[in-house]
Amino acid sequence: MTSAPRDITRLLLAWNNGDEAALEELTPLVYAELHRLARRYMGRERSGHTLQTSALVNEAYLRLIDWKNVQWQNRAHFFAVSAQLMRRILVDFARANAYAKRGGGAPHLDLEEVAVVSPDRGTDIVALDDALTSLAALSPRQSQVVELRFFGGLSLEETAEVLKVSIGTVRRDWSLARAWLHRAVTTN
Amino acid sequence: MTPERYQQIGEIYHSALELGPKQRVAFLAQACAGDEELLREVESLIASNEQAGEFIHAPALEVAAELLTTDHFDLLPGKSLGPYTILELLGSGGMGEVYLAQDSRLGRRVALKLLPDHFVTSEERLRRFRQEARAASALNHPNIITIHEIGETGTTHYIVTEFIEGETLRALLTHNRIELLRTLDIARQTASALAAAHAAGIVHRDIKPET
Repeated sequence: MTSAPRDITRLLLAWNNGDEAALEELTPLVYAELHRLARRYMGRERSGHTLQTSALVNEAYLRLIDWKNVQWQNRAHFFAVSAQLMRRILVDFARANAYAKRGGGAPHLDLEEVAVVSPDRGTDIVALDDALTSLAALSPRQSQVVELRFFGGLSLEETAEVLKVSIGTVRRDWSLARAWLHRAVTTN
Repeated sequence: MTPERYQQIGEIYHSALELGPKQRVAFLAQACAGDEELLREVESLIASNEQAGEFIHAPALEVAAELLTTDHFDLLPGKSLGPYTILELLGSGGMGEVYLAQDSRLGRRVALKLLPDHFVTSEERLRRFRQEARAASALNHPNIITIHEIGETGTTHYIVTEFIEGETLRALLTHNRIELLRTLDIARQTASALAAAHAAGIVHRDIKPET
């Protein structure tokens, strides 16, 4: 199954304008990309592919968030909304994943697919999301830097462009935010 | 904490990170003069920065996709991997999953650790892993776990070691205060084990109470 970037763009715009129903349509598209990515990780060795993980992930992000075809008022706004959306969907996904492991059912997911996987990483995303919300109260920009980079998959340069600050500022924000978040999720 | 306070902490944090360790101490003492809490905050964030390692290094999409990686489905209790029957999952983390398993040939319990996918897809890492396992299996030390074998079936790679029942130092620290003599003894045993490993050319690189 492939996702259509144009559809995603339309849905993102709708979601940004307050249409929560658009999220229902967007979620399966992101999940499809997740499954595709997971399958490619596993298939890599067998098929002799030597693609780097980061290349696969970048490609997945590009398929979801294809800014080249975007007719938005601006690219920066599109990135910001995409990162918010990815955060929302991936945190829900991680939460459902952790829930499934505690014996419950997982919405949108085949049970067998979440049956036995390491619980640690999934919980990390949920804990990080909480910590990020706390950080936003201290520094909205630092919280956004992490949202754009970690959830949105943006580079330093793209993040600087979205926030209209220098790359140096993004680097400093990232360093402090990461230290703060790491402390927040490890001391609980 | 207020945003203003956080900003103040941040400014000192960034300035301190640009300095070498010695200058940093002097700088912090001066920049936080008379404000113990400020000093503690900055120092704790600097420490956290140093410990953060790969934290949020991989984007969320990758982390989520890894949650879906289904390589390990066969390892539900009762399943077999070579001569080993899986009994239960003991723990899991970034470096793989560890299961309690029964060795059907010798009838003993062993710890079976699966290597994570990102590990086995890199030939270089696998090669280094095999090399270290070989070196480690030559070690004979009361504080170092004995490696029984490394094996693979299909694309699943695993390492089998002796199974020791007990709790990690982290768990011990969480539940109890440890007496000084006991602390010294633990430190001595740890150092002795590491010395033996170093002598064999192995560097641990991840020493913490859990390990």
